Amino acid sequence: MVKYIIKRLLLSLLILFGVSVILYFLVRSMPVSYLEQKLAASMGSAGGGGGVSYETRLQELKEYYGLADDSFWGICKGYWSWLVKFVSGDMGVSFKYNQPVEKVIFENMGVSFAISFISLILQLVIAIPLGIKCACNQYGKLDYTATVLTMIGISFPTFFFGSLVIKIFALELGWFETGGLNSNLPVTATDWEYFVDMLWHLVLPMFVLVILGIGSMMRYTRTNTLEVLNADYIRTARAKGLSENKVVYKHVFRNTMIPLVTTLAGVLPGLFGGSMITETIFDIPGIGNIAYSALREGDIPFIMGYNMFIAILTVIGILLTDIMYAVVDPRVKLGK
Amino acid sequence: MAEEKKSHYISGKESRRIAKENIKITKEFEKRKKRKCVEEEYLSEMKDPANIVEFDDLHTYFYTDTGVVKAVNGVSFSIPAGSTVGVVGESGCGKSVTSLSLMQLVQGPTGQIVDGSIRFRTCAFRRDEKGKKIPVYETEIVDGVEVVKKDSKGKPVHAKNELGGNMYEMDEKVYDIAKMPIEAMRSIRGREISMIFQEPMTSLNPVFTIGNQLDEVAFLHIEGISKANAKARSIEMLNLVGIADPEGVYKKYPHELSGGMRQRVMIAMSLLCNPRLIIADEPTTALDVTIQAQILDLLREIKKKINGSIMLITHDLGVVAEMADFVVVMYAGKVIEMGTAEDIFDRPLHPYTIGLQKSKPTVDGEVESLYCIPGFVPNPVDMPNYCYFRDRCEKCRKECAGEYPHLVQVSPTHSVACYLYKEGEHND
Amino acid sequence: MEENKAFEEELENSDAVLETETTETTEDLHGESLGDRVKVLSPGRMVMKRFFRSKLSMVGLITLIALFLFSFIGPLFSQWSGNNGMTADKDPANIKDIVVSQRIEFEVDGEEITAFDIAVETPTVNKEGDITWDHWLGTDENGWDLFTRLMLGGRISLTIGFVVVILETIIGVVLGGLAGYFGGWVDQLIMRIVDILSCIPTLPIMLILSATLTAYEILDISRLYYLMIILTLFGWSGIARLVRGQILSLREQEFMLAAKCSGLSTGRKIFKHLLPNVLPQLIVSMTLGLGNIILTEATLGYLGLGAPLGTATWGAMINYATKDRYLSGYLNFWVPPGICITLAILAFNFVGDGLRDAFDPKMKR
Repeated sequence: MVKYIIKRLLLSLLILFGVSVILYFLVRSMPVSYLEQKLAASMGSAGGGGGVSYETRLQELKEYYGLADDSFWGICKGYWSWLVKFVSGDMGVSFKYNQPVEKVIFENMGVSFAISFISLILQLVIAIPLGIKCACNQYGKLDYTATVLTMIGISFPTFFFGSLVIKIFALELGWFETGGLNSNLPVTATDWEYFVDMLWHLVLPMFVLVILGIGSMMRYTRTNTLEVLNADYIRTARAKGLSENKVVYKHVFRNTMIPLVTTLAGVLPGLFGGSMITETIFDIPGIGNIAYSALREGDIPFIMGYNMFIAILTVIGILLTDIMYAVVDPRVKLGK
Repeated sequence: MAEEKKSHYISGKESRRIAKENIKITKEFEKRKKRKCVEEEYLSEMKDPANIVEFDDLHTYFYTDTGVVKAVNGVSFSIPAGSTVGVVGESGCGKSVTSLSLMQLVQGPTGQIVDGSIRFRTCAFRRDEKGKKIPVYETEIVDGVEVVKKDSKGKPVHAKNELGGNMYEMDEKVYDIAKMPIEAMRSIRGREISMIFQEPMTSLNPVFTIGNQLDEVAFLHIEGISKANAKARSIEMLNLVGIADPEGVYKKYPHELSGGMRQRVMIAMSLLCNPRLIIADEPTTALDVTIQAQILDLLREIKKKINGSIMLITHDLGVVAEMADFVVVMYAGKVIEMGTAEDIFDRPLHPYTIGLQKSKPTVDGEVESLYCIPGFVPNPVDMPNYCYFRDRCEKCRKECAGEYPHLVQVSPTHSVACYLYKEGEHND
Repeated sequence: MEENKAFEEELENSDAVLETETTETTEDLHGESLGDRVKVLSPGRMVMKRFFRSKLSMVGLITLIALFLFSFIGPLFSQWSGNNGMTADKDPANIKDIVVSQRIEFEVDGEEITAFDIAVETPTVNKEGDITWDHWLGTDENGWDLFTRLMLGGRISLTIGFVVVILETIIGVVLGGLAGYFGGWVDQLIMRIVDILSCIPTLPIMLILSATLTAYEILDISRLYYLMIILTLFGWSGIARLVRGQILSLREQEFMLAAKCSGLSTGRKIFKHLLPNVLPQLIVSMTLGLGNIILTEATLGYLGLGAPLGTATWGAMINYATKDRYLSGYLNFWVPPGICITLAILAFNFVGDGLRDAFDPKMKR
């Protein structure tokens, strides 16, 4: 067991190493002049870069990534120096936000996490019972309707659905705000008013996330439930004289949960890393939105840091998947 | 010829039409199964009071897109109380579906009991006007008068039956299972008829412990049983089926047991409520030979102990010869021959039964190759109206072109569906 | 006794007669012996039949055909299709309209003189034009015909999808096949690469690469080729994983042992026995993959990082939705491409799903 986990951890480190190499070379593939220009532009827009002069910052950047030397050895050396710093927890300073990257990430994670988490819970609460219900009445009216609707939900591109939702509910009907977290509340507003206002702003983005997320989860539940319903042990359960509800919600449900729980570990990057498109559309100052504007403006340290952060989350997610398997399914023993 | 063959393909249009009709038909059946109804609707009478189950012209069909598969097509036989009836036939002949019909476990909505009746003598709860069960209370004699015993809270104390559950007033009744709604069927499943399936490896739920799955039956059918009593009962049953370490097995998950052990657990599960009838659907097919013998011995012993009946379904003639009192031979959804074990094994009449006997390997025989019945089991869709075995039969005669032969009684216990034989005639 | 004997003889005779008759009847019966009554379909036909039976997959297929006709045949009927939907009147050098602004009639010495005040006018470009008979969806901010651009955009978006999926599949099958078939260090190496690729966040990487392309000032049509290469390089890992898994499980099966025993060459084993077994899953994942690639392209386009400037793709067109002005005021700019993208993805999903169900022998209906 311990041996297995250690093996998996080493493997994860290897994967992260590979990811970092690819990321580093991607960044290195950008022309230096472009970087300089971007740096200049973002420092200009950020109001003089917080007292640090352009030259110092550029020097810092070049040094951090070893940009000075373009020979093969130079690139390798540059990578090594970046790696050493990264491992020791120094992710560099974001041009755009003029703060250490790790600080920017952790400060903006909260909003993203709250939105993702709440919509994940809503998705689960709707998708799983619906999927089971559809599977139990396969080819019934509900099943057909739900299948078609979820298919449409899966196929809707986030940006298009988001735009439509804004157009309809915010611009035409005016029920909700088009974006942001808070409207201009008077200074006298209480915390409660502030909170309600924020919730009101978050209705649309969460609606988009939930509607678009339900589809795949519901279909997954449905397929798995169908498979389980045909299993011999379900016939045994019926032969015992159990009621259909008991059969479904005890015997079927537990078995359906096995593959479902494991997919949940896959949502980890999205949970902490934010959803770039939704946050951008609704202008929510979450980590996804921040990453997007950093990407647009060529904020190299932030891009590297953010991507590594997502990669680490993904790797942890995969590890969790394995562990979850062992927890949910008594047949699975880690290390086999 | 080629054109004629082409017409046997089912075109997309036809298949869609069939599917549409199927949905309509099966919906009706499903509704019937889910309906709420009074007991009188499925109350029935036994033809012979010595029987515990009587199948009478049972038809179970599967409504598939290629057509209606008549898996069970007019089966009639009975299971006398306290006996073992073996149902034999090759795979796909409808023997499993017959047993599943008895449990109303045919996989819906495609599979439906269409016609006929399955009469089952049951020990039903007596109910008051509100449909509630009538409890039996413990009594004590106070001042010479028999009164209901009360507990400290003033509630009457339930009398306990031998399983440790609350006692209720019971009645011997005969139900027609083919007409019962699922809801009513549930109190028969597992309590009065229990079933052992073919695949011990997959018949137990992998995510629950053995104990959990056994106790579930007790909680379901033995009302008012305490947790400790349920566990004790489960362990007792595990002991009964010859599991050496019942407490250990109680805590284990199915995957930690071997196939033979799992089948023992299944048997233990089926015994939990002292059923009147155990259906064993090829209980030894998936097991190796030594385990087979043990399981068969176990079944025989248990039958003696609980004084119930067994319906044993198998394609293995050896198993039937060893276990059964009566044998029913099925072919393509119909009973073609039935009688006592001696009748079938010493004086087989139907050419198919004779063929089956010949294709059994023997030790002493000097036959070089095993006998093989020529041809295949016919496709079950769109069966013609003549003896289904005709095309494979070596003794095929002129009359065989006629309609499907009826069962003829050649002796009081022995009947066969074949034109070779006539009522009461016994030409060996 | 005698009677009896005679009877027996007769019986024997009749038996003999019967025997000849029996053989006859069985011959007769061959035409419609029980097994022949319903034909067993070949697996391929079964799949086709099951696929065409499903209403949803049919809807998907018809939608796809319609989209293809719309994108590939449609522009042929458009008068603006010559140059990215650019309307011909955009270039002032082409046509000069002579406009009569004034007609003056007056009399001089009893002669009637009619004078015209004329002007050579450059026609105004119909920018952000309304929906008219000439422009079914109006014109965009450059005065280009949106409907034509929608059709042309479909061409590019669908072509990108197909090219990328085919490339992905080739790479995925080759590498996944190698990993699954040879195992050992080959497998280790390829699968680690697959692991790494699947841990890289796709969207940010795409954004970085797009930015890099912009940095190198690749803004013409060759940008599309780079885009395809990038999408392929980061997209093959899923297919490789699928093929490897399938081949690993197939390798253990008896029929591969039989192939080994009969001394088939490696290539023959892979192409004759392993690939056909992987094919169903591959086709399904290709179909679903097509939808995904169109989505990724559209996302990049939406973020303004996809196709080169001026080239119409569905993604690039929905980019209008990012601008408040168009989002609120000009539905004809961004809703049609959005619907097209959604329809395409939906159709590919329906077809892929239908194929999966059709290939699955466990499916009962």
